[in-house]
Amino acid sequence: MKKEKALELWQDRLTREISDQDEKALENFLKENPEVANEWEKLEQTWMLFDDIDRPEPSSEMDAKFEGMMAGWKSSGEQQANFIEVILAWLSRSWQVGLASLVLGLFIGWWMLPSQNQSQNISQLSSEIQDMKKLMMLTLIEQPKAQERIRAVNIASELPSADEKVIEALITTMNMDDNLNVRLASLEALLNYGNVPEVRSALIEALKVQESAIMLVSIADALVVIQEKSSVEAMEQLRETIEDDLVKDKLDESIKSLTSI
Amino acid sequence: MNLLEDHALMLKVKEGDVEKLNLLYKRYSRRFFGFFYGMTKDGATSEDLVQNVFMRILKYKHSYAETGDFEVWAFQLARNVHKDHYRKNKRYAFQEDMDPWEQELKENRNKEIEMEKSDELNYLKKALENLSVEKRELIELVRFQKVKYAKVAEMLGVTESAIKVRVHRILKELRESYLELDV
Repeated sequence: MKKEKALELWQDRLTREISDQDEKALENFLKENPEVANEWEKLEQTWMLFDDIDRPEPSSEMDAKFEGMMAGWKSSGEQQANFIEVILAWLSRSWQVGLASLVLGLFIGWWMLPSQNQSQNISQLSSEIQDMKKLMMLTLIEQPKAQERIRAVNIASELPSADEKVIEALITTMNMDDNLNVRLASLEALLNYGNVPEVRSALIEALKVQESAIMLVSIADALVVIQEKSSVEAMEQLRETIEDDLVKDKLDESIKSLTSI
Repeated sequence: MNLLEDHALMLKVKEGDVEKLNLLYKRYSRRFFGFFYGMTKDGATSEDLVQNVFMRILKYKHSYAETGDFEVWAFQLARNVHKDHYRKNKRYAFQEDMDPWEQELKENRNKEIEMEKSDELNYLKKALENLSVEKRELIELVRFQKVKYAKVAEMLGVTESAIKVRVHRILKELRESYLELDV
């Protein structure tokens, strides 16, 4: 037996991976080569000495960390991704399943899409709500309590489009209501419809009807805001008859602003 | 040994039954810890590296072959984990080498206990520490973790005979080295 082969068998014996037959062959080789046997015996002592090297045990923290890692893994998106992988694998397994899924997807999509009828229904519903609001406003504006009439005026301000009846009601309230706050609120609401000719002329007419200084000053301001030049004449007439200095000054200021445009 | 069972368990993990990894952890975590401790001489680091191995097992479970050997595959992952750690901490290790006295002060209590043991054993340990990383790794796998030559050969991509010869030479080098220290 060659030394190389004997060395391999000797290594096998160290790790107890040697067969009985090979061990006998090795023994024979070692008997025939006492020098090698002596050298290898010392190496074996070194090999055996390793058994005495103590290794520390890991702390219990290691197991806890592992458990934490497992819990984290299970709740992570990684697992979710795997789930998706499984679904995709299942779908790609046969083309029939894939095609059926596609058809199902298209059907659900078609079913979920809002139809034309539905959008018509929505616009109808919206217009019905507007009508209800108008009705509510027109009802509230005739209530005896000023607070409720102010609510009515506020509802009118929220309405998206100008309605003849609403504007008429607001104009009437602005001119006829007993309560100054309600009248002021109506004026403010009417400003939202400043581009409606009826509103503009109503504001000019209001200068002739209103008696309250605050209302007159507010109307003058409103006319400047909507830049109603034709109101200058009415303002000048009022300027001649009014006694209140505050209103006079306001009218002068407004006339000046409107004529300078 | 539960080699067949290890393989079956790992295939279950691969299929998504990750709970089965608990059993593999029970069987292998102490061995991995021993391997890393042999390589780093640091308990806390070794525990972290064990964690990394099991993390990689989960991460790369899809790459486990149907005809694979779990022990070979997992120890290969452990070797890679250690390589990455060694690469990252090379500078740190170098600084320690520059000042052995400082390193001595850092030694933990385990070392103090070990110092009380026979000189021969201590010299052998010193000689082991002086080995190159590759040689130490080989001794760790074959001698301490009792991985069979054929499996180590598979990991390293060499023949079984080559592994036996290498182990024999390292053994010789160790003996000479610790006898020198003994003088």
